[in-house]
Amino acid sequence: MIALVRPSHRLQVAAAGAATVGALAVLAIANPEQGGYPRCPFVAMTGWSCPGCGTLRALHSLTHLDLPRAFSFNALAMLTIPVIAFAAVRWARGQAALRVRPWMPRALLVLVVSFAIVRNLPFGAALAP
Amino acid sequence: MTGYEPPAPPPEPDGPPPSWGPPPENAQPPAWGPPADVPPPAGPPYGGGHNQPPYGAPPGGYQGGPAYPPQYYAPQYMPPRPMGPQPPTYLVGAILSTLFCCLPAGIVSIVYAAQVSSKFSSGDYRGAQDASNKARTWMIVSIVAALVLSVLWVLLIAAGSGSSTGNEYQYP
Repeated sequence: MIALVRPSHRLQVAAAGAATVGALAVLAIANPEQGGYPRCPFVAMTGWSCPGCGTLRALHSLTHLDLPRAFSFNALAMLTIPVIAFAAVRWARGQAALRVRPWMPRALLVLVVSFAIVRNLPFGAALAP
Repeated sequence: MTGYEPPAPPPEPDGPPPSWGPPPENAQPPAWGPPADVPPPAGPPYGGGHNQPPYGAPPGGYQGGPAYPPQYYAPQYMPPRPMGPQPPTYLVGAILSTLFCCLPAGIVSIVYAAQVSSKFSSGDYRGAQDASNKARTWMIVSIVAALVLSVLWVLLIAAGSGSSTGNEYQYP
């Protein structure tokens, strides 16, 4: 194992917080619906929406507190935000980030795959980005 | 990253709870080696049977074998105990790389995250550690690929050959 100099926990928290705030600030100002962001390579190659498609537009809507619009772009990503925020806060406080039960990764896998399939089908247009 | 990792002693059972997700302060994931604090099983060698006199038995006497199972036989017949906490699943990182990045390579990370807990609960600690390492690897692959593509995009824009026109509903 190569010995790497790992920054301190406080520095990691500060960097993660600054990156999050900075990314949200950029997203709040520059609307992804008007282009200018890199295109999702999965859509570019296949023409299908991947599970993460629409997240940038959803986050932009979220910074403008437009929840229905955010959910219309990527409902699954919006649903995971509370989980991520919960884990991030606990991690920043030095606690155990998330107690992962064995069913959690499986449930997430089923959710993500079925979400990816349904949002590309005609009757799943409500979930499409 | 690869190569032999020296086995570290397992964390104290009464220590702080293990942290899942991105490791905050603890520098490296727990290693899975033979626990250093457990003495080697004492007693007669494996397969010795019950007819051998135990250590310390007076020579010539007590030929009937032990009347009750001696205590030092017990560790050989117990199921293997969990060696330390479950390795991290990197589940939050998998969510972030799958839903908040732009590549479906994060799905591979979720698959390995699911293998971590299932293998750990079935007693396959080495496999659980391998799955944990692969989950982290694929999470990093997904994020780095997205970063590289983003940087390439910015370079294309800077070179003037990038185009921001197109279907507006196909941006991530």
